[in-house]
Amino acid sequence: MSTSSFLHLGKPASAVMQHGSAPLNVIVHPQCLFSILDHTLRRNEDQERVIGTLLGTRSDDGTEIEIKSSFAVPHIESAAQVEIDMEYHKTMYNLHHKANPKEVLVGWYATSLELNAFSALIQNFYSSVSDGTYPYPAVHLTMQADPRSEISVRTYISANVGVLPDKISESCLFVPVPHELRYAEAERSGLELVASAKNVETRDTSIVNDISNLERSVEQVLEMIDRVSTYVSSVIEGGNPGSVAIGKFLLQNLSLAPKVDAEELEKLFNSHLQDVLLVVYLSNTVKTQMELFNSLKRTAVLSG
Amino acid sequence: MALPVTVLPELTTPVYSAVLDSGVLLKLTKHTSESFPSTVCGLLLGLDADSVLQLTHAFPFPADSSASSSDDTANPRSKINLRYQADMIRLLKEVNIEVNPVGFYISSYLGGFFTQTLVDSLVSFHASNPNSIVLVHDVTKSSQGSLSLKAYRLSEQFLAANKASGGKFSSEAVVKHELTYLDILEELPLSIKNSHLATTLLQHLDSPAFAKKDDPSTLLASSTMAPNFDTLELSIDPYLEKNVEFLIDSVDDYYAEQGTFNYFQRQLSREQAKIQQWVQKTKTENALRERAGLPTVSEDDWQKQFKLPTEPSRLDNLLISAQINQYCNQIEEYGSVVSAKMFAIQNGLDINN
Repeated sequence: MSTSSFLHLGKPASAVMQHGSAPLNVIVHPQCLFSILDHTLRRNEDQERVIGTLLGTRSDDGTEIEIKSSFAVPHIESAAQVEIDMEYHKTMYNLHHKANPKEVLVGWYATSLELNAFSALIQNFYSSVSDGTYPYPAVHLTMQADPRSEISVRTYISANVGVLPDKISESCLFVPVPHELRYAEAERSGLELVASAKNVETRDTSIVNDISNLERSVEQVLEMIDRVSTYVSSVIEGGNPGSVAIGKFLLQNLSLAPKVDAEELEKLFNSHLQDVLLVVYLSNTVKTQMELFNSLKRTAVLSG
Repeated sequence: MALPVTVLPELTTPVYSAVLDSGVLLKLTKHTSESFPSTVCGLLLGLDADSVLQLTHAFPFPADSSASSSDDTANPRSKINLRYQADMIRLLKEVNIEVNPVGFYISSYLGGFFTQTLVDSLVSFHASNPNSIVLVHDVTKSSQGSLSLKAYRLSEQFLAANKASGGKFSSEAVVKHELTYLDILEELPLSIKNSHLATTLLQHLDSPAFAKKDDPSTLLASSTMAPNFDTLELSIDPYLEKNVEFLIDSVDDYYAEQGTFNYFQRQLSREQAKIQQWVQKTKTENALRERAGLPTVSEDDWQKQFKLPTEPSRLDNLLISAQINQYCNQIEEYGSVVSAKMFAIQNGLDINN
């Protein structure tokens, strides 16, 4: 998700990472982004940005942080001061911890890309010794959630570099760190379903049954094969420059085809198919039996 | 328009479908799949408007550490969870979330969710909101490619029978209200909706800037998230095996339950025979007494002498039947997909030969 402007800022990150305690990688789970967006939609009318707590897991050496969920924290921000309901944060964190014992506090989010003195103040709270992530750095995730512009996400950690001692509580250096999006295997089906609605005007979708899902997959595979064969033939004819990477990739995949005797394979398939049909037959019989039982009982009660 | 204000329940119009927010879906699948294989549950919050139930927020209930065995299903109405719910709702109210409970979600292992706990919880939810539903997420099935999430609510027949028999579910009540195992729960059509911002996010994730440039496999895919060919997977045995195993277990349960009922019926007929005997005896005695001019004993007095055994609740039977039906349907559905795959491959082999 890194943008080109991010790369310019990347230099201080590598300098800090040498300290060892800084996270090398931040992994964001999509459901967390969704709940941040949901929070944005529910903000009070006059609120510019909303903030909340990020929760997740940290690898043993602290170099990898996975952000798994988040919750909103109410706050009031004016030109002169910022007020965050810390009591709320603590109670909510305790409740959340009960339901997700593995997830710990890793940082906080704000729904504007701007970093100001208030950000530093909040960041220092989240990375403090008493209630914060200390000794690990707190991750600050900013998300541009303005419907007029594209959504962008940035992640930072902080360092107390070059700060005057009397202003330490309200200043810190935000160091950008790279992040990536990752989702668990089991959540893929849900995410895929959500993603399937992205080009639909009504923004909704319904759950498809297995057989139409299979149909869609087969169609997709066919489409991909078509694309590949068009590409390959255009390379052979010289219309398109060939790419070594793609060539290697295709070759690698072709070699994955199993080498099984065709007759043997067919026999295996046949026996397997019979097994499946038998099981289906069995379940049908059970169902009929149940239906019969039920009807008999009804008549028994009605007549007796 | 003059609406009768006093009749509160009338104001809630029945819902005919449910709309799930995409964020809620992701939250729910995360919770259920992370705690798999133990069953977990959570609360659904939302609104019912224009006969559509909108599910806008959800939160998980803590895993019940006191649950003794693994087959104990999660109970959203346990005391701990009720307290948790109250605490959570108080907090969520502060961040402008609709704190109107509209049901709960539960994870299931291979569709085995027809339990007494589930039905009891639904009845309890129904008391506070007649439009309450339960979302059942089948984690095993969802990991095979297509998401399996179903929305159910109690059917009218069930509610009528429950009310008429006072939760006892006698045979007469069940038959009178035409409650069969097929319609304990009724399914609601469920759709998933993205907010505008979520759509923007999804579009952003799909943009070429986000794709990894050095991996050729992403060049083939039409989207970063779309290619999911788990449905083409050919390892079919484990799923069927487990399903058949569970089916057989359920059939065993069914027979055990049938045994209890048969025992009751035997007991009942034995008692009835005894009563018949007693009534007969009293009749002859009464005839003798009448002749001797003595007061007669009423023939209805058998109720004082004998006690009929109480009928066991038919709900168990209905639930087990519904469970068997569920397993059978799953096998059939799966069988149709698998046989389609198999025939396709066979055809492919024929072409190659």
